[in-house]
Amino acid sequence: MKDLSVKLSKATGMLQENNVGKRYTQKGKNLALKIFSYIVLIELGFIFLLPLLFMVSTSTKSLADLLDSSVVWLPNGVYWDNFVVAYNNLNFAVTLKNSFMMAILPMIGQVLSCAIAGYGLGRYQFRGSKLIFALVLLCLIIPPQTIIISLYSLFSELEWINTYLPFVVPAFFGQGLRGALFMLIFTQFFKGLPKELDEAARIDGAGAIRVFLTVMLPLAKPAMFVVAMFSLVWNWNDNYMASFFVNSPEMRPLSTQLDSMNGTFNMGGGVENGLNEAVMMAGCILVVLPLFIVYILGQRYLVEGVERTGLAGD
Amino acid sequence: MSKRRGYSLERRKVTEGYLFVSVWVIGFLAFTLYPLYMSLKISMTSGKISDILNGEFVGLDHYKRVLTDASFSQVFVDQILKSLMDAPIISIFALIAAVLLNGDIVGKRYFRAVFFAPVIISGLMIRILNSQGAADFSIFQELGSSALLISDIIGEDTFARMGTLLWRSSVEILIFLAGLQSIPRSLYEAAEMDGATPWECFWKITLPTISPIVLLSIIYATIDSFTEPDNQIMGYIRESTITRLDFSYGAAISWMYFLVILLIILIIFYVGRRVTVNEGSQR
Repeated sequence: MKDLSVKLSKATGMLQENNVGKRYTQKGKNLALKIFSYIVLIELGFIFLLPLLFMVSTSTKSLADLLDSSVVWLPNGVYWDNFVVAYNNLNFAVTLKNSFMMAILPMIGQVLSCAIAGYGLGRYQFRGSKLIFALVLLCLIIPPQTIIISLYSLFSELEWINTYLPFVVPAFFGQGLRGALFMLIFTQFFKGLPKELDEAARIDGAGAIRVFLTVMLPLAKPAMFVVAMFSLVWNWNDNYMASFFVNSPEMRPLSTQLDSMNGTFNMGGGVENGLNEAVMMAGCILVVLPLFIVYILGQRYLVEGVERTGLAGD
Repeated sequence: MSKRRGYSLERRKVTEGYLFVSVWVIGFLAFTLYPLYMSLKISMTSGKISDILNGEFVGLDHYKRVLTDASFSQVFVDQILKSLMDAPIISIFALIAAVLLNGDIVGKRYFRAVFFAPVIISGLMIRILNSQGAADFSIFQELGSSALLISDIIGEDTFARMGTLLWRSSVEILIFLAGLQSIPRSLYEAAEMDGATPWECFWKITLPTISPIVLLSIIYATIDSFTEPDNQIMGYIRESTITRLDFSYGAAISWMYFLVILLIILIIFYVGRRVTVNEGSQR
Protein backbone atom coordinates (compact mmCIF):
# COMPACT_ATOMS: atom_id res chain seq x y z
CA MET A 1 0.00 0.00 0.00
CA LYS A 2 2.64 2.42 1.11
CA ASP A 3 4.87 1.67 -1.87
CA LEU A 4 1.97 2.32 -4.17
CA SER A 5 1.29 5.71 -2.68
CA VAL A 6 4.97 6.59 -2.90
CA LYS A 7 5.00 5.61 -6.56
CA LEU A 8 1.87 7.57 -7.26
CA SER A 9 3.23 10.66 -5.62
CA LYS A 10 6.50 10.24 -7.49
CA ALA A 11 4.53 10.25 -10.72
CA THR A 12 2.62 13.35 -9.80
CA GLY A 13 5.88 14.91 -8.66
CA MET A 14 7.29 14.38 -12.13
CA LEU A 15 4.29 16.06 -13.63
CA GLN A 16 4.89 19.05 -11.46
CA GLU A 17 8.57 19.16 -12.32
CA ASN A 18 7.77 21.57 -15.19
CA ASN A 19 6.53 24.07 -12.76
CA VAL A 20 10.02 25.45 -12.15
CA GLY A 21 9.07 28.93 -11.06
CA LYS A 22 6.87 27.61 -8.33
CA ARG A 23 9.72 25.47 -7.11
CA TYR A 24 12.04 28.44 -6.72
CA THR A 25 9.64 30.41 -4.57
CA GLN A 26 9.14 27.21 -2.67
CA LYS A 27 12.85 27.05 -1.96
CA GLY A 28 12.92 30.65 -0.82
CA LYS A 29 10.05 29.99 1.53
CA ASN A 30 11.79 26.93 2.92
CA LEU A 31 14.92 28.93 3.59
CA ALA A 32 12.93 31.58 5.43
CA LEU A 33 11.24 28.87 7.45
CA LYS A 34 14.62 27.36 8.28
CA ILE A 35 16.04 30.67 9.48
CA PHE A 36 12.92 31.30 11.48
CA SER A 37 13.14 27.91 13.15
CA TYR A 38 16.79 28.49 14.08
CA ILE A 39 15.83 31.78 15.70
CA VAL A 40 13.04 30.12 17.66
CA LEU A 41 15.34 27.25 18.65
CA ILE A 42 18.05 29.56 19.90
CA GLU A 43 15.62 31.72 21.83
CA LEU A 44 13.83 28.78 23.37
CA GLY A 45 17.20 27.22 24.10
CA PHE A 46 18.19 30.33 25.96
CA ILE A 47 15.03 30.17 28.05
CA PHE A 48 15.69 26.52 28.82
CA LEU A 49 19.25 27.26 29.86
CA LEU A 50 18.22 30.31 31.84
CA PRO A 51 17.79 28.59 35.22
CA LEU A 52 21.30 27.15 35.04
CA LEU A 53 22.83 30.35 33.68
CA PHE A 54 21.09 32.38 36.34
CA MET A 55 22.37 30.05 39.05
CA VAL A 56 25.95 30.21 37.82
CA SER A 57 25.92 33.96 37.33
CA THR A 58 24.28 34.83 40.64
CA SER A 59 26.26 32.33 42.68
CA THR A 60 29.53 34.08 41.90
CA LYS A 61 28.35 37.53 42.92
CA SER A 62 29.77 39.23 45.98
CA LEU A 63 27.45 41.20 48.23
CA ALA A 64 28.50 44.40 46.49
CA ASP A 65 27.61 42.91 43.10
CA LEU A 66 24.22 41.80 44.40
CA LEU A 67 23.39 45.30 45.57
CA ASP A 68 24.76 46.96 42.45
CA SER A 69 21.90 47.08 39.97
CA SER A 70 24.29 47.68 37.06
CA VAL A 71 25.60 44.14 37.52
CA VAL A 72 23.07 41.86 35.87
CA TRP A 73 24.81 38.84 34.34
CA LEU A 74 28.56 39.33 34.69
CA PRO A 75 29.79 39.97 38.22
CA ASN A 76 33.08 41.75 38.92
CA GLY A 77 35.12 38.63 39.46
CA VAL A 78 34.17 35.32 40.99
CA TYR A 79 33.36 35.34 44.67
CA TRP A 80 34.09 31.78 45.77
CA ASP A 81 33.19 32.39 49.39
CA ASN A 82 29.52 31.91 48.47
CA PHE A 83 30.23 28.26 47.82
CA VAL A 84 32.02 27.86 51.13
CA VAL A 85 29.08 29.36 53.02
CA ALA A 86 26.62 27.23 51.03
CA TYR A 87 28.75 24.15 51.63
CA ASN A 88 28.66 24.72 55.38
CA ASN A 89 24.97 25.57 55.47
CA LEU A 90 24.12 22.49 53.45
CA ASN A 91 26.19 20.33 55.78
CA PHE A 92 27.41 19.05 52.44
CA ALA A 93 29.61 16.09 53.38
CA VAL A 94 26.79 14.46 55.38
CA THR A 95 23.83 15.38 53.18
CA LEU A 96 25.63 14.39 49.98
CA LYS A 97 26.14 10.88 51.31
CA ASN A 98 22.47 10.70 52.30
CA SER A 99 21.38 11.92 48.90
CA PHE A 100 23.49 9.26 47.23
CA MET A 101 21.95 6.54 49.35
CA MET A 102 18.42 7.86 48.92
CA ALA A 103 18.74 8.26 45.16
CA ILE A 104 21.01 5.49 43.93
CA LEU A 105 19.55 2.61 45.95
CA PRO A 106 15.95 3.43 44.95
CA MET A 107 17.13 3.86 41.38
CA ILE A 108 18.60 0.36 41.32
CA GLY A 109 15.48 -0.97 43.00
CA GLN A 110 13.08 0.69 40.58
CA VAL A 111 15.02 -0.35 37.48
CA LEU A 112 15.19 -4.00 38.60
CA SER A 113 11.70 -4.43 39.99
CA CYS A 114 9.94 -2.49 37.24
CA ALA A 115 11.89 -4.40 34.57
CA ILE A 116 10.89 -7.73 36.11
CA ALA A 117 7.25 -6.87 36.69
CA GLY A 118 6.96 -4.93 33.45
CA TYR A 119 8.24 -7.99 31.62
CA GLY A 120 5.58 -10.14 33.27
CA LEU A 121 2.85 -7.66 32.46
CA GLY A 122 4.01 -6.90 28.95
CA ARG A 123 4.76 -10.42 27.70
CA TYR A 124 2.46 -12.76 29.57
CA GLN A 125 -1.28 -13.03 29.36
CA PHE A 126 -3.07 -14.32 32.39
CA ARG A 127 -6.28 -13.78 34.23
CA GLY A 128 -6.14 -10.40 35.94
CA SER A 129 -3.37 -8.97 33.81
CA LYS A 130 -5.74 -6.32 32.51
CA LEU A 131 -6.78 -5.49 36.06
CA ILE A 132 -3.16 -5.12 37.11
CA PHE A 133 -2.49 -2.87 34.16
CA ALA A 134 -5.45 -0.72 35.20
CA LEU A 135 -4.09 -0.60 38.75
CA VAL A 136 -0.72 0.59 37.44
CA LEU A 137 -2.49 3.40 35.61
CA LEU A 138 -4.47 4.22 38.74
CA CYS A 139 -1.24 4.46 40.74
CA LEU A 140 -0.05 7.16 38.37
CA ILE A 141 -2.69 9.56 39.56
CA ILE A 142 -2.70 8.94 43.31
CA PRO A 143 -1.47 12.19 44.83
CA PRO A 144 1.39 11.44 47.26
CA GLN A 145 -0.50 13.39 49.94
CA THR A 146 -3.29 10.87 50.03
CA ILE A 147 -1.08 8.10 51.32
CA ILE A 148 1.80 9.86 53.00
CA ILE A 149 0.30 10.03 56.50
CA SER A 150 -0.59 6.35 56.54
CA LEU A 151 2.80 5.52 55.06
CA TYR A 152 4.38 7.50 57.86
CA SER A 153 2.50 5.57 60.50
CA LEU A 154 3.32 2.30 58.73
CA PHE A 155 7.02 3.13 58.62
CA SER A 156 7.10 4.36 62.19
CA GLU A 157 5.50 1.09 63.29
CA LEU A 158 8.24 -0.75 61.42
CA GLU A 159 10.76 1.64 63.02
CA TRP A 160 12.01 2.73 59.61
CA ILE A 161 11.81 6.45 60.29
CA ASN A 162 15.24 8.12 60.06
CA THR A 163 16.65 5.25 58.02
CA TYR A 164 17.05 4.79 54.27
CA LEU A 165 14.51 1.96 54.27
CA PRO A 166 11.35 3.99 53.46
CA PHE A 167 13.00 5.01 50.21
CA VAL A 168 14.71 1.75 49.35
CA VAL A 169 12.26 -1.04 50.20
CA PRO A 170 9.20 0.26 48.29
CA ALA A 171 11.47 0.96 45.32
CA PHE A 172 12.54 -2.68 45.18
CA PHE A 173 8.86 -3.61 44.89
CA GLY A 174 8.12 -1.29 41.99
CA GLN A 175 6.70 1.50 44.11
CA GLY A 176 8.42 4.62 45.33
CA LEU A 177 8.59 7.88 43.46
CA ARG A 178 6.65 7.52 40.16
CA GLY A 179 7.14 3.78 40.23
CA ALA A 180 3.95 3.37 38.22
CA LEU A 181 5.36 5.44 35.37
CA PHE A 182 8.47 3.28 35.23
CA MET A 183 6.30 0.19 35.31
CA LEU A 184 4.38 1.57 32.35
CA ILE A 185 7.56 2.33 30.39
CA PHE A 186 8.84 -1.24 30.80
CA THR A 187 5.46 -2.82 30.12
CA GLN A 188 5.07 -0.89 26.88
CA PHE A 189 8.64 -1.62 25.89
CA PHE A 190 8.38 -5.38 26.34
CA LYS A 191 4.98 -5.42 24.66
CA GLY A 192 6.57 -3.88 21.60
CA LEU A 193 9.24 -6.56 21.13
CA PRO A 194 8.51 -9.21 18.48
CA LYS A 195 6.95 -12.41 19.77
CA GLU A 196 9.43 -14.69 17.98
CA LEU A 197 12.20 -13.54 20.29
CA ASP A 198 11.36 -15.54 23.36
CA GLU A 199 9.71 -18.34 21.40
CA ALA A 200 13.00 -19.02 19.66
CA ALA A 201 14.84 -19.10 22.94
CA ARG A 202 12.12 -21.30 24.41
CA ILE A 203 12.47 -23.84 21.65
CA ASP A 204 16.18 -23.92 22.40
CA GLY A 205 15.15 -25.06 25.86
CA ALA A 206 15.81 -21.94 27.89
CA GLY A 207 13.68 -21.43 31.00
CA ALA A 208 11.71 -18.28 31.76
CA ILE A 209 14.38 -16.74 33.95
CA ARG A 210 17.10 -17.45 31.43
CA VAL A 211 15.06 -15.96 28.60
CA PHE A 212 14.49 -12.88 30.70
CA LEU A 213 18.11 -12.48 31.76
CA THR A 214 19.90 -13.39 28.54
CA VAL A 215 17.48 -12.33 25.81
CA MET A 216 15.13 -9.70 27.16
CA LEU A 217 17.17 -7.70 29.61
CA PRO A 218 20.01 -6.94 27.18
CA LEU A 219 17.42 -5.71 24.68
CA ALA A 220 15.84 -3.53 27.33
CA LYS A 221 18.95 -1.42 27.83
CA PRO A 222 17.43 1.77 26.38
CA ALA A 223 14.37 1.44 28.60
CA MET A 224 16.57 0.71 31.61
CA PHE A 225 18.65 3.76 30.86
CA VAL A 226 15.64 6.06 30.60
CA VAL A 227 14.12 4.73 33.82
CA ALA A 228 17.47 4.91 35.65
CA MET A 229 18.00 8.49 34.59
CA PHE A 230 14.55 9.71 35.58
CA SER A 231 14.51 7.70 38.78
CA LEU A 232 17.87 9.11 39.82
CA VAL A 233 16.91 12.69 39.05
CA TRP A 234 13.49 12.54 40.72
CA ASN A 235 14.67 10.70 43.80
CA TRP A 236 17.61 13.04 44.16
CA ASN A 237 15.43 16.12 43.91
CA ASP A 238 12.51 14.89 46.00
CA ASN A 239 12.22 16.66 49.28
CA TYR A 240 8.59 15.87 49.95
CA MET A 241 8.92 12.26 51.07
CA ALA A 242 12.26 12.97 52.68
CA SER A 243 10.77 15.77 54.76
CA PHE A 244 8.38 13.22 56.25
CA PHE A 245 10.50 10.13 56.66
CA VAL A 246 13.75 11.56 57.97
CA ASN A 247 13.89 14.35 60.48
CA SER A 248 17.26 14.07 62.20
CA PRO A 249 19.85 16.45 60.68
CA GLU A 250 22.41 13.72 60.07
CA MET A 251 19.94 11.71 57.95
CA ARG A 252 18.72 14.57 55.75
CA PRO A 253 19.43 14.54 52.02
CA LEU A 254 20.61 17.62 50.12
CA SER A 255 17.14 18.52 48.85
CA THR A 256 15.62 18.77 52.35
CA GLN A 257 18.60 20.68 53.65
CA LEU A 258 18.31 23.12 50.75
CA ASP A 259 14.63 23.54 51.58
CA SER A 260 15.37 24.33 55.21
CA MET A 261 18.15 26.66 54.13
CA ASN A 262 15.61 28.44 51.92
CA GLY A 263 13.23 28.57 54.86
CA THR A 264 15.86 30.19 57.09
CA PHE A 265 16.66 32.66 54.35
CA ASN A 266 13.02 33.60 53.76
CA MET A 267 12.29 33.99 57.47
CA GLY A 268 14.99 36.64 57.59
CA GLY A 269 17.37 34.48 59.57
CA GLY A 270 19.88 34.61 56.78
CA VAL A 271 22.20 37.26 58.14
CA GLU A 272 23.76 35.34 60.99
CA ASN A 273 24.23 32.30 58.73
CA GLY A 274 25.77 34.45 56.00
CA LEU A 275 22.94 33.65 53.57
CA ASN A 276 22.04 35.86 50.65
CA GLU A 277 20.69 35.37 47.13
CA ALA A 278 24.12 34.47 45.82
CA VAL A 279 24.66 31.85 48.51
CA MET A 280 21.23 30.35 47.80
CA MET A 281 22.19 29.97 44.14
CA ALA A 282 25.54 28.49 45.12
CA GLY A 283 23.59 26.01 47.24
CA CYS A 284 21.37 25.14 44.26
CA ILE A 285 24.48 24.53 42.17
CA LEU A 286 26.03 22.27 44.78
CA VAL A 287 22.81 20.24 44.93
CA VAL A 288 22.35 19.96 41.19
CA LEU A 289 26.03 19.50 40.25
CA PRO A 290 26.16 15.69 40.60
CA LEU A 291 23.02 15.40 38.48
CA PHE A 292 24.47 17.81 35.96
CA ILE A 293 27.55 15.64 35.54
CA VAL A 294 25.43 12.52 35.09
CA TYR A 295 23.24 14.41 32.63
CA ILE A 296 26.17 15.63 30.52
CA LEU A 297 27.52 12.10 30.32
CA GLY A 298 24.19 10.49 29.60
CA GLN A 299 21.97 12.93 27.72
CA ARG A 300 22.80 11.39 24.34
CA TYR A 301 21.56 8.00 25.46
CA LEU A 302 18.51 9.57 27.03
CA VAL A 303 17.09 10.71 23.71
CA GLU A 304 18.05 7.50 21.93
CA GLY A 305 16.57 5.57 24.82
CA VAL A 306 13.27 7.38 24.74
CA GLU A 307 13.09 6.97 20.99
CA ARG A 308 13.56 3.24 21.30
CA THR A 309 11.50 2.53 24.40
CA GLY A 310 8.23 3.28 22.73
CA LEU A 311 7.46 5.61 25.64
CA ALA A 312 5.04 7.18 23.25
CA GLY A 313 3.85 3.88 21.80
CA ASP A 314 0.13 3.21 21.65
CA MET B 1 -0.33 -36.55 25.08
CA SER B 2 0.69 -33.53 23.11
CA LYS B 3 -2.51 -31.81 24.13
CA ARG B 4 -1.77 -32.38 27.81
CA ARG B 5 1.72 -31.05 27.34
CA GLY B 6 0.39 -27.96 25.66
CA TYR B 7 -2.01 -27.44 28.50
CA SER B 8 0.69 -27.75 31.11
CA LEU B 9 2.94 -25.41 29.16
CA GLU B 10 0.12 -22.91 29.09
CA ARG B 11 -0.29 -23.38 32.83
CA ARG B 12 3.38 -22.94 33.44
CA LYS B 13 3.39 -19.72 31.44
CA VAL B 14 0.55 -18.34 33.50
CA THR B 15 2.42 -19.15 36.72
CA GLU B 16 5.55 -17.53 35.36
CA GLY B 17 3.59 -14.43 34.45
CA TYR B 18 2.17 -14.23 37.95
CA LEU B 19 5.64 -14.67 39.45
CA PHE B 20 7.15 -11.85 37.42
CA VAL B 21 4.31 -9.46 38.15
CA SER B 22 4.09 -10.42 41.83
CA VAL B 23 7.09 -8.19 42.56
CA TRP B 24 4.96 -5.20 41.74
CA VAL B 25 1.73 -6.56 43.18
CA ILE B 26 3.30 -7.16 46.61
CA GLY B 27 4.67 -3.64 46.62
CA PHE B 28 1.33 -2.26 45.48
CA LEU B 29 -0.57 -4.04 48.25
CA ALA B 30 1.88 -3.06 50.99
CA PHE B 31 2.93 0.45 50.03
CA THR B 32 0.00 1.81 48.05
CA LEU B 33 -3.28 -0.01 48.56
CA TYR B 34 -2.90 -0.53 52.31
CA PRO B 35 -1.92 3.12 52.97
CA LEU B 36 -4.73 4.21 50.67
CA TYR B 37 -7.22 2.18 52.70
CA MET B 38 -5.77 3.48 55.96
CA SER B 39 -6.10 7.07 54.84
CA LEU B 40 -9.72 6.40 53.86
CA LYS B 41 -10.22 5.04 57.36
CA ILE B 42 -8.50 8.05 58.92
CA SER B 43 -10.74 10.34 56.90
CA MET B 44 -13.84 8.68 58.33
CA THR B 45 -12.74 8.58 61.94
CA SER B 46 -11.77 11.13 64.54
CA GLY B 47 -8.47 9.96 65.92
CA LYS B 48 -6.09 11.58 68.35
CA ILE B 49 -2.55 12.39 67.25
CA SER B 50 -1.20 9.67 69.49
CA ASP B 51 -3.40 7.04 67.92
CA ILE B 52 -4.67 8.27 64.57
CA LEU B 53 -5.50 4.85 63.21
CA ASN B 54 -8.03 3.81 65.86
CA GLY B 55 -10.32 6.79 66.12
CA GLU B 56 -14.06 6.80 66.56
CA PHE B 57 -16.03 6.28 63.36
CA VAL B 58 -17.74 9.48 62.27
CA GLY B 59 -18.71 8.63 58.70
CA LEU B 60 -18.62 11.46 56.22
CA ASP B 61 -18.46 14.28 58.79
CA HIS B 62 -15.00 15.42 57.73
CA TYR B 63 -16.04 15.43 54.10
CA LYS B 64 -18.98 17.67 55.00
CA ARG B 65 -16.56 19.99 56.78
CA VAL B 66 -14.40 20.11 53.64
CA LEU B 67 -17.38 20.96 51.45
CA THR B 68 -18.42 23.85 53.69
CA ASP B 69 -14.88 25.22 54.02
CA ALA B 70 -14.96 28.41 51.95
CA SER B 71 -11.21 29.04 52.00
CA PHE B 72 -10.56 25.53 50.76
CA SER B 73 -13.05 25.67 47.90
CA GLN B 74 -11.32 28.85 46.75
CA VAL B 75 -7.92 27.15 46.70
CA PHE B 76 -9.44 24.05 45.17
CA VAL B 77 -11.15 25.74 42.21
CA ASP B 78 -8.10 27.95 41.69
CA GLN B 79 -5.68 25.07 41.50
CA ILE B 80 -7.86 22.88 39.29
CA LEU B 81 -8.30 25.68 36.77
CA LYS B 82 -4.58 26.37 36.89
CA SER B 83 -3.68 22.74 36.28
CA LEU B 84 -6.16 22.44 33.43
CA MET B 85 -4.68 25.58 31.90
CA ASP B 86 -1.07 24.50 32.31
CA ALA B 87 -1.33 21.12 30.62
CA PRO B 88 -2.27 22.32 27.11
CA ILE B 89 0.23 25.19 27.26
CA ILE B 90 3.04 22.85 28.25
CA SER B 91 2.00 20.41 25.55
CA ILE B 92 1.90 23.07 22.82
CA PHE B 93 5.33 24.35 23.77
CA ALA B 94 6.68 20.83 23.93
CA LEU B 95 5.21 20.01 20.52
CA ILE B 96 6.74 23.09 18.90
CA ALA B 97 10.10 22.39 20.50
CA ALA B 98 9.99 18.71 19.53
CA VAL B 99 9.08 19.45 15.89
CA LEU B 100 11.95 21.94 15.66
CA LEU B 101 14.38 19.54 17.33
CA ASN B 102 13.30 16.74 15.02
CA GLY B 103 14.02 18.71 11.84
CA ASP B 104 17.23 18.77 9.86
CA ILE B 105 19.22 21.21 11.92
CA VAL B 106 22.90 21.74 12.53
CA GLY B 107 23.93 20.89 16.07
CA LYS B 108 20.83 18.84 16.79
CA ARG B 109 22.57 17.04 19.65
CA TYR B 110 23.51 20.26 21.41
CA PHE B 111 20.06 21.72 21.05
CA ARG B 112 18.54 18.58 22.48
CA ALA B 113 20.93 18.58 25.41
CA VAL B 114 19.89 22.16 26.15
CA PHE B 115 16.17 21.47 25.90
CA PHE B 116 16.21 18.58 28.36
CA ALA B 117 18.48 20.32 30.82
CA PRO B 118 15.62 21.62 33.02
CA VAL B 119 14.80 17.97 33.83
CA ILE B 120 17.52 18.03 36.46
CA ILE B 121 16.17 21.12 38.18
CA SER B 122 13.80 20.41 41.04
CA GLY B 123 10.54 22.15 41.88
CA LEU B 124 12.20 23.57 44.96
CA MET B 125 14.96 25.15 42.89
CA ILE B 126 12.40 26.61 40.51
CA ARG B 127 10.68 28.10 43.54
CA ILE B 128 13.93 29.64 44.76
CA LEU B 129 14.70 30.91 41.26
CA ASN B 130 11.22 32.40 41.06
CA SER B 131 11.65 34.21 44.34
CA GLN B 132 14.76 35.81 42.87
CA GLY B 133 12.87 36.85 39.76
CA ALA B 134 14.66 34.52 37.36
CA ALA B 135 11.44 33.25 35.82
CA ASP B 136 10.03 36.70 35.31
CA PHE B 137 10.25 37.07 31.55
CA SER B 138 9.33 40.59 30.64
CA ILE B 139 8.54 39.43 27.09
CA PHE B 140 5.73 37.29 28.35
CA GLN B 141 4.57 39.95 30.74
CA GLU B 142 4.38 42.48 27.93
CA LEU B 143 2.48 40.05 25.76
CA GLY B 144 0.16 39.61 28.71
CA SER B 145 -0.70 43.29 28.93
CA SER B 146 -0.79 44.04 25.21
CA ALA B 147 -2.53 40.95 23.91
CA LEU B 148 -5.50 41.64 26.14
CA LEU B 149 -7.77 39.11 24.51
CA ILE B 150 -5.42 36.19 25.11
CA SER B 151 -4.61 37.28 28.60
CA ASP B 152 -8.31 37.55 29.33
CA ILE B 153 -8.79 33.98 28.22
CA ILE B 154 -5.89 32.36 29.98
CA GLY B 155 -5.33 34.92 32.73
CA GLU B 156 -2.48 37.38 33.40
CA ASP B 157 -1.18 35.03 35.99
CA THR B 158 -0.47 32.30 33.47
CA PHE B 159 1.75 34.65 31.52
CA ALA B 160 3.76 35.36 34.61
CA ARG B 161 4.27 31.63 35.08
CA MET B 162 5.20 30.99 31.48
CA GLY B 163 8.89 30.57 32.23
CA THR B 164 8.16 28.00 34.88
CA LEU B 165 5.85 26.15 32.51
CA LEU B 166 8.57 26.01 29.88
CA TRP B 167 11.04 24.58 32.35
CA ARG B 168 8.56 21.91 33.25
CA SER B 169 7.99 20.76 29.68
CA SER B 170 11.15 18.70 29.19
CA VAL B 171 9.55 15.31 29.73
CA GLU B 172 6.76 16.21 27.32
CA ILE B 173 9.36 17.19 24.70
CA LEU B 174 10.88 13.75 25.11
CA ILE B 175 7.48 12.12 24.68
CA PHE B 176 6.81 14.11 21.51
CA LEU B 177 10.26 13.41 20.08
CA ALA B 178 9.70 9.71 20.55
CA GLY B 179 6.33 10.03 18.84
CA LEU B 180 7.73 12.01 15.92
CA GLN B 181 10.34 9.32 15.34
CA SER B 182 7.61 6.77 14.79
CA ILE B 183 6.11 8.60 11.79
CA PRO B 184 7.36 6.86 8.62
CA ARG B 185 9.58 9.13 6.54
CA SER B 186 7.94 7.93 3.35
CA LEU B 187 4.83 9.93 4.24
CA TYR B 188 6.80 13.15 4.19
CA GLU B 189 8.69 12.19 1.06
CA ALA B 190 5.46 11.48 -0.74
CA ALA B 191 3.94 14.75 0.40
CA GLU B 192 7.04 16.67 -0.65
CA MET B 193 6.79 15.16 -4.12
CA ASP B 194 3.28 16.48 -4.29
CA GLY B 195 4.64 19.91 -3.50
CA ALA B 196 3.46 20.16 0.07
CA THR B 197 5.19 22.80 2.18
CA PRO B 198 6.63 21.89 5.58
CA TRP B 199 3.79 23.91 7.05
CA GLU B 200 1.20 21.77 5.28
CA CYS B 201 3.12 18.64 6.20
CA PHE B 202 2.85 19.59 9.85
CA TRP B 203 -0.93 20.06 9.78
CA LYS B 204 -1.78 17.23 7.41
CA ILE B 205 0.72 14.55 8.44
CA THR B 206 2.48 15.27 11.71
CA LEU B 207 -0.42 16.44 13.81
CA PRO B 208 -2.97 13.78 12.82
CA THR B 209 -0.41 10.99 13.17
CA ILE B 210 0.75 11.99 16.60
CA SER B 211 -2.64 13.07 17.92
CA PRO B 212 -2.62 10.14 20.39
CA ILE B 213 0.73 11.44 21.64
CA VAL B 214 -0.78 14.87 22.14
CA LEU B 215 -3.39 13.24 24.34
CA LEU B 216 -0.70 11.32 26.23
CA SER B 217 1.27 14.49 26.77
CA ILE B 218 -1.76 16.43 28.00
CA ILE B 219 -2.65 13.63 30.41
CA TYR B 220 0.93 13.41 31.66
CA ALA B 221 1.16 17.19 32.14
CA THR B 222 -2.20 17.25 33.93
CA ILE B 223 -1.20 14.47 36.31
CA ASP B 224 2.16 16.11 36.87
CA SER B 225 0.55 19.40 37.73
CA PHE B 226 -2.07 17.81 39.99
CA THR B 227 0.34 15.66 41.99
CA GLU B 228 3.18 18.13 42.27
CA PRO B 229 3.98 18.69 45.96
CA ASP B 230 4.33 22.42 45.37
CA ASN B 231 0.78 23.08 44.23
CA GLN B 232 -1.74 24.93 46.36
CA ILE B 233 -3.99 22.04 47.30
CA MET B 234 -0.99 20.00 48.29
CA GLY B 235 0.13 22.92 50.42
CA TYR B 236 -3.32 23.13 52.00
CA ILE B 237 -3.34 19.43 52.85
CA ARG B 238 0.14 19.74 54.26
CA GLU B 239 -0.85 22.70 56.40
CA SER B 240 -3.90 20.99 57.85
CA THR B 241 -1.98 17.84 58.70
CA ILE B 242 1.42 19.11 59.79
CA THR B 243 0.64 22.53 61.19
CA ARG B 244 -2.86 22.01 62.55
CA LEU B 245 -2.42 18.26 63.15
CA ASP B 246 -5.92 17.71 61.82
CA PHE B 247 -5.13 14.37 60.20
CA SER B 248 -8.70 13.31 59.51
CA TYR B 249 -9.47 16.56 57.77
CA GLY B 250 -6.30 16.35 55.70
CA ALA B 251 -7.10 12.77 54.76
CA ALA B 252 -10.64 13.72 53.75
CA ILE B 253 -9.33 16.52 51.53
CA SER B 254 -6.72 14.30 49.95
CA TRP B 255 -9.26 11.58 49.21
CA MET B 256 -11.66 14.00 47.61
CA TYR B 257 -8.81 15.48 45.63
CA PHE B 258 -7.79 12.03 44.44
CA LEU B 259 -11.31 11.26 43.26
CA VAL B 260 -11.59 14.60 41.47
CA ILE B 261 -8.27 13.99 39.68
CA LEU B 262 -9.45 10.52 38.69
CA LEU B 263 -12.67 11.96 37.28
CA ILE B 264 -10.90 14.74 35.37
CA ILE B 265 -8.34 12.37 33.88
CA LEU B 266 -11.08 9.98 32.80
CA ILE B 267 -12.98 12.83 31.14
CA ILE B 268 -9.84 14.04 29.33
CA PHE B 269 -9.12 10.48 28.28
CA TYR B 270 -12.56 9.77 26.86
CA VAL B 271 -12.98 13.13 25.16
CA GLY B 272 -9.42 12.95 23.85
CA ARG B 273 -9.83 9.39 22.60
CA ARG B 274 -12.89 10.43 20.63
CA VAL B 275 -11.02 13.25 18.94
CA THR B 276 -7.88 11.30 18.15
CA VAL B 277 -9.72 8.22 16.93
CA ASN B 278 -11.79 10.34 14.58
CA GLU B 279 -8.71 11.93 13.11
CA GLY B 280 -7.17 8.53 12.75
CA SER B 281 -10.05 7.16 10.70
CA GLN B 282 -10.09 10.19 8.43
CA ARG B 283 -6.61 9.41 7.31
